Formats: sequence, C-alpha cells, structure tokens
Amino acid sequence: MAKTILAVDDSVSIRKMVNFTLKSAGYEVIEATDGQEGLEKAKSSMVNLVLTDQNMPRMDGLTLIKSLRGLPQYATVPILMLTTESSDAMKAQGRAAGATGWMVKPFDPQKLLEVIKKVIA
Amino acid sequence: MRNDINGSGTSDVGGSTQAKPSEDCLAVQDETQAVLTCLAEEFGKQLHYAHRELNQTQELLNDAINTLIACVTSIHRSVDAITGGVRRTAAESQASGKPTSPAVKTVLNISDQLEANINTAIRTLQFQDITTQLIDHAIHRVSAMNDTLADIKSLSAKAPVDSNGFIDQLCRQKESILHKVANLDEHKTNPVSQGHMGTGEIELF
Repeated sequence: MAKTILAVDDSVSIRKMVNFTLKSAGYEVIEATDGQEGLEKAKSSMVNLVLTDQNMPRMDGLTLIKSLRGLPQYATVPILMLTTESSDAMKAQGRAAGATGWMVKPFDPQKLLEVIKKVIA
Repeated sequence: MRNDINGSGTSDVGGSTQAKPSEDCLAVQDETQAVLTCLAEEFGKQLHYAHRELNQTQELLNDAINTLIACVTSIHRSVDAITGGVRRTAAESQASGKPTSPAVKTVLNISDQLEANINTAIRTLQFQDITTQLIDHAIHRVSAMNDTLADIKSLSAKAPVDSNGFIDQLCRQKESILHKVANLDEHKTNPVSQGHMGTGEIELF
C-alpha cells in the first residue's frame, strides 16, 4: 500500500513540484496551504510523513510541528521542514519542536526522495 | 491661528497672555511645514510607484511559474511514456541474459539525461517561491515607509498656533516615525539567505 505524505506550504508552485516529485515516486500526497489546514488534515487522515514549510499564514511550521507532536498518533511520525530559513537558531528551534530533519529550499527532487525513503522506513 | 488683538506683540490665547512668535520663527515654521509636506507628497508618490511595480513583478512571476511547471511536468510524463516501454524491454533482456542493443542503450542514456535535466529544472523553478518571499519583504518595507510619509503629511497639514505647538507637532511626527521603524524592525530579518539556486542543505536530526 502506498505511503501517504502531507505536504504543507502556502506556495502553490512548491506544492505542485513536491506533489509531482512524490507522486512520480509512488507516494500518495495530501496538500495543505498553511499550518492550520495541515493540522486539520493530519487529524482527519493518518499520514506516514509530514513535509512542512516554516513561514506560512495562520500557523507557521514550528507551531504545526509542536501541535502534531502533541497528538499521540504523531509522536513518532517523521516530520521534515522544507524552508528557505537556514540559520542555526531556526534549526535548533526545529529540532526542539520535534522536527526529524531540516531541508533548505530549493530542494533537489532526487535528494528529497532519498531523505524521505530514509526516514519513512 | 495668529492674532494680535491688542497690537502689543502678545496675544491672548485661552485667557492667558503668550509671547507672539517672531516673524523669523513663523517663517521657519512655515518653511519646515512646507518641506515636510513636499517630502511626504513626492516621496510618497515614488513609493506608491515602487509598490505597484513590485506587485506587477509578483504577478508576472506567478503567471510564468504556472506555465513553466505545467510544461516541465508534461515533458516528464511524455518522456516516461516513451521510455517506459524501452526500460521494461531492457530489463527483460537483462533478466534473460540477452545483451542490451546499442539503440536501447542510447534511448536509456537520453532518458537518464532528460531525468537529470528535469530534476534541475524543478529545483530551479523554486526561484518563484524564494523571490516571492523577497518581494513580499520589500513590499512590506515600502508600505511602511509610505504610511509614515502619509502620517507626516497629515500632521504637517495642521498649522500650529505657536512655537510650542509647532515643536509639539514635530515631536509627534518623530514619535510616529520611531513607532513605524520599531514595527519594521520586527520584520527586519530577511527570510531568504540564498544567493543562488543550488540545492539547499539537508540535515537529519
């Protein structure tokens, strides 16, 4: 059965490219336009991995991660940050919030798939 | 409102006698107000144009990116459709111990190159997301400066009754500027550090 990934980003173009990359590799993809919607969709459909941007309206990525880690069913689900932010301070916040990894944009499709394969196993 | 009811160089304002500002002082007041108003109007116009041009840039980027993504993904699907059968044939040949024909190898090489180029294209197309964040950041600054100038213009429109009133007006204008700058400072950090479109770093915790 195909694994499902929740892709959260307020950028339409990023969501399209992530969706294309993941679906080409056989993953099912659920999209959300911000952290609030991401949280709602994660609650209504169990996913195998969450890929989220940081800077989004309504709820940012770090807040989404903290909210998800507060849900028992998402205590150990891999959550990857995909963002333009690259400072050590932000990464430290991500790690403290419960992120599994931090990827700085732009992503390479092949590398994205490798990382996902590694953490989702 | 300047009045000199008794012609003595003083005026009665609110029941108390105040020294009438000298003509020089009034001239400085008038000119300062005129400068501030002119500054606010003219620079406000320029910022308005800059804001409009930044918005226009955003719209063009949004328009272009949708088309580019559709093209790249369509090319990828077409290539997959063409080479899918070739790959299956090559795999079957290999599995049965037969050598892969040169023509098949050529097609597979071209397919691999196309795949690599499409990956590069997908990585590079993310420029729109990154530049949009930069432009939004710039628009935010331009809007804040425009608002500040509008405040200055609005405060300059009210003619003060005396020197103290004028100083008070300048103080309020300064406070308005400082308040806006403080708000801007909260958003000072540029969310984008990238200076090129090479693959971003990856760190697993």
